[in-house]
Amino acid sequence: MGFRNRSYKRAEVITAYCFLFCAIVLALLFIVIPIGRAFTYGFTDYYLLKPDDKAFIGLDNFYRIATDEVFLKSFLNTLQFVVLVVPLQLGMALGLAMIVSKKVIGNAFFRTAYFSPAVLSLVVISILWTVMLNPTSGLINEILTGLGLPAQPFLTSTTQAMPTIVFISAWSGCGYQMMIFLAGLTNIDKSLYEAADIDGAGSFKKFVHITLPGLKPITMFLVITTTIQAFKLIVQPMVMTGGGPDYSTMTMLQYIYEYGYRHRNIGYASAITLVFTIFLIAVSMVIKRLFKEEKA
Amino acid sequence: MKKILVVLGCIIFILQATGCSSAGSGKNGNNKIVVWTQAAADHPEGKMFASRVERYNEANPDKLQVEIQNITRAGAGSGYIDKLNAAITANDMPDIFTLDGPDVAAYVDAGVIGELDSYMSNGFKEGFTDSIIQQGTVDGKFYAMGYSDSAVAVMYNEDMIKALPADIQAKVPAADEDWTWEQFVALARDIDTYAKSSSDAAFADYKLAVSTLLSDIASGSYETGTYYFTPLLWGNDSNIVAEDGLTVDGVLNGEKSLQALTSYAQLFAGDPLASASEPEKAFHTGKAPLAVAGFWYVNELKDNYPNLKYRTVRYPKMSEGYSGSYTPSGSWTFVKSGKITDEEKSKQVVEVMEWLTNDQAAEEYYAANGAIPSRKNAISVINTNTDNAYYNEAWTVMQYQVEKTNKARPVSVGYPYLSETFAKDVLLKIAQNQAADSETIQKYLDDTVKKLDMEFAKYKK
Repeated sequence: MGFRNRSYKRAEVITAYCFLFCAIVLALLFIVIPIGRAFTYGFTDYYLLKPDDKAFIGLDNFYRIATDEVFLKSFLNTLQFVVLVVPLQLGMALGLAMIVSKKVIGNAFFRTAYFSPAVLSLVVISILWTVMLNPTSGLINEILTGLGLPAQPFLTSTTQAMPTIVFISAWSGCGYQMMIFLAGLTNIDKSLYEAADIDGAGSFKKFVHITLPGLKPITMFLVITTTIQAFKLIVQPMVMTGGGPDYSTMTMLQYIYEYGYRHRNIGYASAITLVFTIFLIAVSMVIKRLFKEEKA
Repeated sequence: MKKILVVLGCIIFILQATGCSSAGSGKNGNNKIVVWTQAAADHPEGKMFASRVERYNEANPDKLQVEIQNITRAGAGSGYIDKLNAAITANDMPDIFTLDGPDVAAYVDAGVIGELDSYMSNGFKEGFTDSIIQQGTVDGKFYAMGYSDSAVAVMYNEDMIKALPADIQAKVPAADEDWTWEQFVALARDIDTYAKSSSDAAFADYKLAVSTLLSDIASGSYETGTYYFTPLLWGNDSNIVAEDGLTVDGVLNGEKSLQALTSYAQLFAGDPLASASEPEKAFHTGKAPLAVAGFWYVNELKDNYPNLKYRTVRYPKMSEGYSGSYTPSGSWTFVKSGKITDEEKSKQVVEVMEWLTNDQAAEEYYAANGAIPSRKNAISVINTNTDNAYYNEAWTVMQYQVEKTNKARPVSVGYPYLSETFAKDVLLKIAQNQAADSETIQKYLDDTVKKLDMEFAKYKK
């Protein structure tokens, strides 16, 4: 309330508007204009090499989406990735955070080790794993066969490729979330655990009734950010599988990129972008609503 | 006030950073000639272009000076092509730029590259090899000067072949003999059977019979697959697209294509002889005794694997009776911007392109990079009399193919999509699903034709 009554100096007002202007320019350049352009291009036959020769084609691109099997496959792949990676990555992050929160020898080393994949480039990680997962000469299959287990096709199998990418993505991303969970764990009042000890509660009960509720706000934040991040999957499949085998790892973003740049069909790529953007807005609204209910 | 200036500075910086840099015809005016190449500045190819350009500028101080800009490509050329396409969209093209041969038709159709016939010196075009002329010609007009040609042959590991029983060894042809794909697959099958039951030291690292680089398709370099294996269709008197560059129904899914691709699929039938996820450098490191090998293998093996004893034989023909050209060819080319309106500048641009692709340049490129000359008069520069017999044999085979059997990839406005779809939805799918029966392959072809027809509809309007 005090803000309303407070009078600002002219210089402060100008500075505030300048910062606001900066944010608006960025939003216009990178969000509003591109979405607006995608909206208009989605109704045209815009071919990248003929930018001056666009013709309005009505809903043709959208009819094509409705019959495009690869679009549907890419969309389902993306959903599958999100559904699998979010719980796995957060579960791994929480588990690691609980491990490194214990005061044991070598704790600092393990924290760094678990966090290190988060600072590596996704391209580097993808290349490393591609080499390790090579079915005929990769390290992982060498280990499996050394243990008397059958070699696996991993990235070359339509059924194993996506789960493999999910695992690698969760592994590479969980270190960052581990650090956030770790901060959350240190904020939980220690007296709650002491009281639970006096009441004779076991480790599992303490985890369910103290740790998890204590981490709820952080978990909600991580669910939202990880979900949004997961929908943007492109690097790992692009580097590791090229979207294959048989489109089993093709994601929406990669499909949009391929149509827009490799196939130069900006009109169709824009239409797909538009459909996917609307879907993402809907998902964001649902998450926001859930978050609000949670706060209430 | 200071804060305001900082904020304004930030905005100006952002606007500049998001804007397009000047490079090409749109802003060059008549002050200089800008050349874009996908070759990195520190790559032998980049260095040789820079050297040619430097000498041109020195020899022609009174003319427009040439400036070369290296925009390194990533993987299948994406980084370079993305930037080039952005420049085209912004009407900010360089005066001369490089393009992969099969992409030329799409850029001609878009009107972004200019024809060269009316500006070229007399007889210059005829100096290119036939496949380079084919590759650069669209609707009877010449648009692209190839600065190198290419070739693909079959290589085999001599130590591994010598360890085989005599009856299998006898199946390996001589370097100057034609052979068929069926004979090639039969040889690979025999090697594989022997290798899996033998304890011979030559096969200690054996992983698969044939290295095909199909793993390149899986990682996004689709063109490698089309470049390597479309010739199997050519050798059966078929193709992936009709002469018009857009009709695929009845061609790609026609009987002869199906026959050729069913034969290709025998590499993956039963115990697979090749893999879409083969180990890196499988042939170079003795993991595969046979390789479908591009010309770049020759220098790579000489420089980095000097102890590998390899032999080279011709690319297998699909049908023994086929008498036309059928071996892989073509490479990157120089093209001229179609937006140059000044006649004098156009003449000089073509003069620079000739300087970058003439006989002397082709000889220099071969010496610097092992690139196969694209000029008829320069092919003889390939040295097949060194003290390295393996090297000599490889170049002899490739030289023969360039002169006698090389064929350009299809000229199609929809080529990039055509190539990628064929590589991914047919070649790779057959390999990954180990599909070897003609019914399944026919289905793959019909599905691919459906996709291509849908995409090509925009060109047929």
